[in-house]
Amino acid sequence: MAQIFPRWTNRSPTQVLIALLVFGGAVTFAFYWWASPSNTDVGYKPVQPVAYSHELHAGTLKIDCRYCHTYVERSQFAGVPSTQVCMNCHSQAKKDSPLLAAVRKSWDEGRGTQAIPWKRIHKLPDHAFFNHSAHVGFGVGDNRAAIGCETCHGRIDTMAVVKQVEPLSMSWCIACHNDPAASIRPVSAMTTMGWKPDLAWVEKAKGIAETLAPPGAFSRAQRQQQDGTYLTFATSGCNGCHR
Amino acid sequence: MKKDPYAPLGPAMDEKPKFWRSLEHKEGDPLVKAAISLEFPDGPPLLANSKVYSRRDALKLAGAGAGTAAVLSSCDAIPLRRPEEEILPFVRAPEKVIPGIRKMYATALPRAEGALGVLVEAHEGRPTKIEGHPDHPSSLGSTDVWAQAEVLRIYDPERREGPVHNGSAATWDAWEAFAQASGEAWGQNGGKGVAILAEEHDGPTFARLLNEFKSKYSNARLYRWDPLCPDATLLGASIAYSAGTRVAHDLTKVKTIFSLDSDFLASGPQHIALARQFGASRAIQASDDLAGMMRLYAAEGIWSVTGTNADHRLRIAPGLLPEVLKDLAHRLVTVHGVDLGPIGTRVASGSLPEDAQKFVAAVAKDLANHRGAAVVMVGERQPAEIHALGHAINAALESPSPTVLRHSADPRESMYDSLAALTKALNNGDVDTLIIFEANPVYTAPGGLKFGEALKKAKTVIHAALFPEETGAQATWHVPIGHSLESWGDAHAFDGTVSLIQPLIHPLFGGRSQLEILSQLLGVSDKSDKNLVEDTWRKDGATLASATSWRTALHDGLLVGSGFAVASGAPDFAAVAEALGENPGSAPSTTSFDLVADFGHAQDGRLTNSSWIMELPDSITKLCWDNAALMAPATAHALGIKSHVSKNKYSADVVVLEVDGRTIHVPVFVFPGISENTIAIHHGYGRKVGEVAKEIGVDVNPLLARGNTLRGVKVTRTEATATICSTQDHFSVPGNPFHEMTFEAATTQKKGAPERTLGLGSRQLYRSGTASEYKVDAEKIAKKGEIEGVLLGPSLGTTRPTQPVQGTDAIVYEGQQWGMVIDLSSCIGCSACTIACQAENNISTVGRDQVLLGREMHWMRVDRYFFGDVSDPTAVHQPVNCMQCENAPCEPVCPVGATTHDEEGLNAMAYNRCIGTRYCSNNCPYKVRRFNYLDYSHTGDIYVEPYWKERMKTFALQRNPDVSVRYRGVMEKCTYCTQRVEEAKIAAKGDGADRKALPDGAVTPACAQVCPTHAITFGNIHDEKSRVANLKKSARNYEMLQELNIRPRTTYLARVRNENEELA
Repeated sequence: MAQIFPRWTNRSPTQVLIALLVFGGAVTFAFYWWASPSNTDVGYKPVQPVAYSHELHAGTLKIDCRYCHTYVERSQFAGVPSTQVCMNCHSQAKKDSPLLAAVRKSWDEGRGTQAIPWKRIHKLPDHAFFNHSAHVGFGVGDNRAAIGCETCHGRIDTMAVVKQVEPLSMSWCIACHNDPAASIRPVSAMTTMGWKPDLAWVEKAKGIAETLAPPGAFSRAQRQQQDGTYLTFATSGCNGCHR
Repeated sequence: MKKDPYAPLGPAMDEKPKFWRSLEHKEGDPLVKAAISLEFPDGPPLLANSKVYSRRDALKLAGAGAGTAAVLSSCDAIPLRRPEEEILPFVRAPEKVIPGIRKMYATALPRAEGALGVLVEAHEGRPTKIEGHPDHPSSLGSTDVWAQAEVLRIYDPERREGPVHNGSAATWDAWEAFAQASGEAWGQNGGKGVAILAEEHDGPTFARLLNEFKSKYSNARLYRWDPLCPDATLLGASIAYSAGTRVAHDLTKVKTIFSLDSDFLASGPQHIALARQFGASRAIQASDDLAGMMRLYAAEGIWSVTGTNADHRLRIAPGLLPEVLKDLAHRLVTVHGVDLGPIGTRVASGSLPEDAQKFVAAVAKDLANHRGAAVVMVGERQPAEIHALGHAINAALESPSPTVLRHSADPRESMYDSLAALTKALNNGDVDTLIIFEANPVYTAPGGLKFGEALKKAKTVIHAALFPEETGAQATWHVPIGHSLESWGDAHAFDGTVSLIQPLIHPLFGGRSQLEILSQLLGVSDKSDKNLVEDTWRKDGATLASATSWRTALHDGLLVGSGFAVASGAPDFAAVAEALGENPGSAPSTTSFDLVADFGHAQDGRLTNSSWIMELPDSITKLCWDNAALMAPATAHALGIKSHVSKNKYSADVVVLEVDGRTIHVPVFVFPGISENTIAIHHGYGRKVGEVAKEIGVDVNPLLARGNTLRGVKVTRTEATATICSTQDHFSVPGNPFHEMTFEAATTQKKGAPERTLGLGSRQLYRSGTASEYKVDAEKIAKKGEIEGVLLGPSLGTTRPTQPVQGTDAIVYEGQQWGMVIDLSSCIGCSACTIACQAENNISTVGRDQVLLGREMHWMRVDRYFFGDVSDPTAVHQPVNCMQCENAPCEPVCPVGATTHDEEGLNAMAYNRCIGTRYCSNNCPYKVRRFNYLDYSHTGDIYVEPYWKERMKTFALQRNPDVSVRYRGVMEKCTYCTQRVEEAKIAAKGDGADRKALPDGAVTPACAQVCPTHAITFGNIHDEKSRVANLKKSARNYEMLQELNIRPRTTYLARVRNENEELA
């Protein structure tokens, strides 16, 4: 009796399996690569209702970040300035500039009720609770330190239009929380753009990072690596961010 | 014989429990047993009559899903980037408003029994949570169930957005024109035919406007109706002292309390302050404290929260309750030589049953022995003359508790008489225009008055209230008013303290305040509620005329030292004697029942449209979304009435109650502890309007006439049965949790071996003892029923650990370690913790159908156990939340690591990691995890039923922004309010303090904050000086199921009862 299946079909299950694995791997990789925040969110640069330039205000004029983002040391939100804050200066400076038409409309001689609809750039998912004030001043006494604005937001002073530079993904958060020493700086340098640590600070930062370790009998805040180095965990419980 | 390795180590499985949750639990009903071993018993997946989810919706959902897929695939690029979002800052930022930082405002909630001072939490202008006001005499920092639920009411989408004229929407302009025209017309005829019906709580400003109304329209009449008013209490004071007096209590120096049908611990005037004092005296930490411990006697026909806390409770028919006090007075006079003047001759030993006589004799002796430290509290259901007798006894016993205050100069008419007079006037055609403020008499009026029919005789009915309700539906005009969190006002606390009410939010539905509406009817239309309040307080020479004093009072929420004047003088014994009269009580019989209509969490119905209130199980019966006629087992047996458990719910025979030709049909819930031939039924159910409340339960009002105790009720059994919803068997802690630890044990059944259904082994979950036991050996109480060294027993293979996973002394704590202690001695079982937790943690309500499937979501439940005799048991309460076990059984079984420990000992729950296997819940011995079977929060990304989408628009504003809103398929549970812990830590960081060494008291979970008796203590157990660490060292401290060695962080302090040995 003649063979129904030709000889090459003997290999087809293997081939199909390999093809499926490759395909599955490709799909996984595609999601990992193109659907991760570092692809979808980094570089997000919406057009704002007012052509406000951070490059000019923060870079050239060197206005402190906190002049507008007032609540950064007090609240979970750094705060977007009220129209009044813009008008503090622009009632005098460039008072007739066409670029400021939207601001003047919102202000409406102090009688305005319509907010400027700024586009939100940095956003965490609803189940992640981030608090600005917890990151711009921590540690006790001599061990006080901060995370700089630029660490997460990038060189705002060079951006004419602000964009997102870091993925703000969980692994990105954890990377810093696992090794905060590399990212902390003196509180006084919090808003400084382009700040570089000196050698003394690098050493001091290691000590500070150790004090940030939460003690606990259940999870080791400091973990010894294979090579004998220690990693410091600034927050080891889930409920610091997920409540 | 070879030992069965799976045989229970503790008491035998078939042993009946000493502490039982229900009659069926006590008897070992197989359905109750089955329910215990299956934590979430499988019910029908979706109920056919469910309004929310039906098969049709499932099809819709499938359609929506297909549609979405089609839309997505038709797009060129799937939008991976999130949708654009806007940030809208202020144009002019108000001072001190920081986005993300909550603000607390001091204000007050007006109530019939006197205003409750509260601090209200606002997030970006939304009131989200109500806390107690520490400086307010009626709150002392705590609140109650009703204050917690109040915040939900302002977001109720059933509030009207404008006036309603003859059933159709009208404009505010139309209303104002009408009000002005009416005012002018009344000015012509002096307000002839005009009547106002108001509730009890007048603030000074409302009272001032009412006086102006009366003087401007001299023919107008004022009537009162408020079912929650402490009417008999106030009338009793009028008899005993003089008109316009009231009696405030202070129990701090009291040792012996006799409560006659009173629920002074959980409702009525000053209940929070009284509960605080009671709880403080019961929370004994050393033998020395026993001397200051109060002893509470209660006599009642039905259960009250106070009755469950009594050291000795006399179960006696409501008809005999007045006799109890008369008998007590008689004994005090004749046996103990207490001088009651002419009253002595008017009281005689009545016809009390023998056990009652023994009880009264013991109480009389104890009261007399504690002359100068004893008090009698009389309940609101008792007639005024019995209250007066109580006052007389207190005076004769030189009680340190009462203070007589003068609140008014006018004599008082009882609420019932006032409403009856209004009904008569309506029927006589004397009332053309009736203006009703807040009251809902069409629903709440006793059926005997036939108020609804009388109301139709008025030409114009104006109903100014938060909701239209039944009365608004009949009214010519329904005028929506602002909630007290939305409008200005003022009110008196029970002791007279002036409490200012300030708005936290612009009226959400555009309502006007009561003050504005009354002022409009007075012809003044240009004054806002703020102006009107300021007119009262800030006129030249007035108390708060200066800006500083006004702002201080507003900031404090109250006017310090503004209480009513103390009225001196002894009670008028002769007047009391005269009022007592000759009307001997009698016991009910099977043909002539006593019926008591009492106020539970739903009160008189004003709060029934709040799902939080409806779903909160009653403190004693654990009924929710339902009321029923409670009846003692013996009585039910005699009448052939049955109610039996059937998987999470009860199936009950329906009876007809009849009195004077008025009837209602109501299902019977056979319940221990009710006196024979007595029926207890809750007010507030069987509403005709309201999406939440309507057609749930039975309205008792049609049966009633004067008062809430009814005599001579005829009970007839019908053939019908009904389902009633009680959670008393839900989430039972298995009696023998070891069997859950092995798969084999759960699946194999050897021949002849005892049945391995879980649940009925007598684990002593609740521990208590008497004061004398405590004196002898304080630790013995907490060790009662303890199973020693179970895990240290001989090895029985690999199925059971042979030694503790982590020895008690092997644990070395570092940093702050959170823990909680719940003092069962001071817990009164009021359930405020459950609802405070719900408000704080965005916990969804699930509805009656889902509760019947055992799916209620409360993170904190209050278990009520009975012990003792079936007909007359003692009831105890045990709040249970997540214990944050150190060796948490839920954690190792989670396949995705959604639940893990943090470094401070909290058993954290990452909701977005949860995939809903429910393994954790299955492995939790305390049954404190809750699963979102359906989209209870109505936040679905893909599909939310339009009905819910619409409703949640406003309800979503109540949510706490610091807590995730959980979606379907996610497990959730208590985390000791981890958001509050984090908030305190972040605040410490900001201040440069050590976040790892927060001071004691820096964090208070919602349950501990609301607790009126401070029974819940939270803090750092690693700090030797903290309150919680010291309580953990108490001799009364014990762990629930300590034999499992899971080391719960929540521990209990065993209850100490202060028993009188004569009655024991």
